[in-house]
Amino acid sequence: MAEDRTILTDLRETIERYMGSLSVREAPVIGWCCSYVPVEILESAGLVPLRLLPPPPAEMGDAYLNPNFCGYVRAIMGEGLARAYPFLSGLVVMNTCDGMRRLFDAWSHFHDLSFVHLMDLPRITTPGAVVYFREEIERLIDRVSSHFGVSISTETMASCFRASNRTHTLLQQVQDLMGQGRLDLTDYEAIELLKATGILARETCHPLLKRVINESPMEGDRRGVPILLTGSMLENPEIVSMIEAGGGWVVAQDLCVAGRRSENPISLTEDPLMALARHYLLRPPCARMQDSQRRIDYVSNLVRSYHVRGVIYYVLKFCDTFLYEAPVLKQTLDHMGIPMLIIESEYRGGWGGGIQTRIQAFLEMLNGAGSPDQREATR
Amino acid sequence: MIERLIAWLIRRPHYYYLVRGPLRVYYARYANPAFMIWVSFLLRTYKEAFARTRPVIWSSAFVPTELVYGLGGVPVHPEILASLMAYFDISGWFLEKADTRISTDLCSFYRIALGMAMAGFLPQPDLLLSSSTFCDGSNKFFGYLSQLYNVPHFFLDVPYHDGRHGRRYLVDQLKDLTDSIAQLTGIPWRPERMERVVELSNRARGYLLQINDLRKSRPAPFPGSEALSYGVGMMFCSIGTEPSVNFYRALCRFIQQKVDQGAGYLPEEKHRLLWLHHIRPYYPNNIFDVLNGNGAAVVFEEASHVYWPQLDNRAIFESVAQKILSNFSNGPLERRVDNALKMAKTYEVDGAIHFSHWGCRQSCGGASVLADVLKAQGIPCMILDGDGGDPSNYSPGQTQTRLEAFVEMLE
Repeated sequence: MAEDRTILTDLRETIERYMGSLSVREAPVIGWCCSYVPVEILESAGLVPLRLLPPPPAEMGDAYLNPNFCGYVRAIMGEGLARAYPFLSGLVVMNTCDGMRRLFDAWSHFHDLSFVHLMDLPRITTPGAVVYFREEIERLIDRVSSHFGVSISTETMASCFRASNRTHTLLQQVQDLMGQGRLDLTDYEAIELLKATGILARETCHPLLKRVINESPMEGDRRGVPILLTGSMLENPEIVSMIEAGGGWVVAQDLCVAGRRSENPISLTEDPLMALARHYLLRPPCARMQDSQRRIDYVSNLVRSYHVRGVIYYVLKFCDTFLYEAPVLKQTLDHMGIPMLIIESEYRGGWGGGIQTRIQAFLEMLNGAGSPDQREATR
Repeated sequence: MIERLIAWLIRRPHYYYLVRGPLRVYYARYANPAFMIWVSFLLRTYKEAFARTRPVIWSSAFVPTELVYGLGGVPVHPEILASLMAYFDISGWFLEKADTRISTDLCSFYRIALGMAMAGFLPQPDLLLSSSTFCDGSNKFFGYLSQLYNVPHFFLDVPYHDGRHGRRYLVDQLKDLTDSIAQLTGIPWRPERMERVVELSNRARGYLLQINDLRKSRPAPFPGSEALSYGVGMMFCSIGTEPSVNFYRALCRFIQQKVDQGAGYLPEEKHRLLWLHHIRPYYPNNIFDVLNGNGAAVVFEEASHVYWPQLDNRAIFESVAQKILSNFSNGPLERRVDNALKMAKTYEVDGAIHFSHWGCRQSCGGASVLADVLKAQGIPCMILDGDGGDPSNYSPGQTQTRLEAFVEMLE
């Protein structure tokens, strides 16, 4: 237990140190806020990508974006206006959803940051869509190159792709260990660690990931009801602690901040921009993508692969795409005999007893359900 | 009981023959003949849709209807029907049903439409056709319906950028989509049918431009509340048909008469307002009564703006793609802002009202920027929060106070 705390403490200190170092970095720091942003391009340009995961509250953002907006978007807007990121030289916004699209507009209008770029993201995955997305990546390169006066060589890009693939391998290992119950971390700590990979530079986060992998025991002794946590943006993994406290075990996650990423590394044997376009566009989809069936198939596969007994669907209030998808996914899972609990929540953490009670009741129901063998296995 | 009876009635195509006469008598009190064309158009469309003589294509509001007519289908627009249910003050029936399935924070028009589908108020679709123009809600709502009805969903992914790459991406999708739909319905894609649709579309567009020109007159000859109702309804549902040409010709003549007489729709026009957003509350409400009572005329609305160029039969897919991409709701907010500024200048408005419909992220999210830019140009802009379809989100007293304060400020 002491070691667990050390890893979390180390992680927090590392993030704090890293964030502190950004002010004195020579390389421009570029904020990004959607897991579809091809950060490898920013890295190839010698820029420092930083995933913006602002803490709530978001009062300042509320003045510029309607209160019926996703809390994550309002928090970014609020933190931007409050100059919480004084070291930021630019922002790359993905045209993921109406919220992000309007974040770009509001930020461009009310904030004086000189580089704000919106990158379009197709909602379909046809060959034509991949070509269009490749062109969008090219447009990002053009904008970055002309604004920051940098050039991106094929060699640098290949080197950055290799580094990204190393992260991919390490993350895959961590997630496999998590699913096998061999990670010497609580689920809360594991999600914090996965979240941190969007914040920290690769050279900083790789040692942390390696350490966690190396310290994992040979045999997993983890017990609990196997749960898949899926949904939209989860800034505060307090909910994961609630699941653990109720006797659940998060064996797999499919979240914007953790888990939902390409199943394959970036190909190094073809046109790099085409490879990158495919890598991002064909990855397990977010609910904003048009073909819901692809996502449902992906989630169903996770359920089967990790012997999940219940799914917790976490969705931020006002996140239309995930809200629409919830009943469709629930229907499929019902047919599979897998119960799904939908938690619609504000981006504020500090959830009250209501959510805790619902999670507890859900886990108790799962403990009571299932075959005697399954129940035995979760004890 | 009443709900079930109505659901049973509207599924009978003969019902539309029966109600047409009484409705004609009832609506004869309206001096505007265009309104009856709208009513007849709706009755004819839904008679055809329930009779299923042609493929029934449920379509999202911003898919050019020319496509649906060109494919030989009958378009059904769930959003427009939802607004009609609100107009008849029965949206509550459907919201109650839909709210057992989807979040109450989603757009009420889609919630009403879902409730209508659940209550059997909508004709069975043969296929669904939607585009990503405007909002996320539309994309996912049609995806959800596809699961519900187990019918194919065809989708146009409209690119954010109106450039060479984006246009090619959209044109390719249009070609694939028309091929696939023609195969599915068994109705071949015939250029001569589309040519006729294009001709009718361009004629309707011509009248629309004339109407918009006439509406620059002082005093305002035609109320924005009506333009936002059946005017926009016809624009979404009928462009590319004979009734659309008849409708806009009739409306044009009606407004021309008013202009010739120097008659405004208000007894005394003190202020001229621009309405921002494609919708207004359709259930009984006092918004326009309050404005009218205070001499504030809604002279124009962004929904009526003709943003698209003439369609060209020589390059039909490119032309339809251009129509889709010309929509000022696509791309950066700057396009909508520029458009609002131009309209404010053209129609010489004293102020603007941005109707922030609960659940419409794309529109509400741009309201602050729009208001800020308009104010910088000396045009006060009020952000009026409300709901277009769900009367439970409407507070008459508060709305009246806010509107009166805004109009007072204009003085």
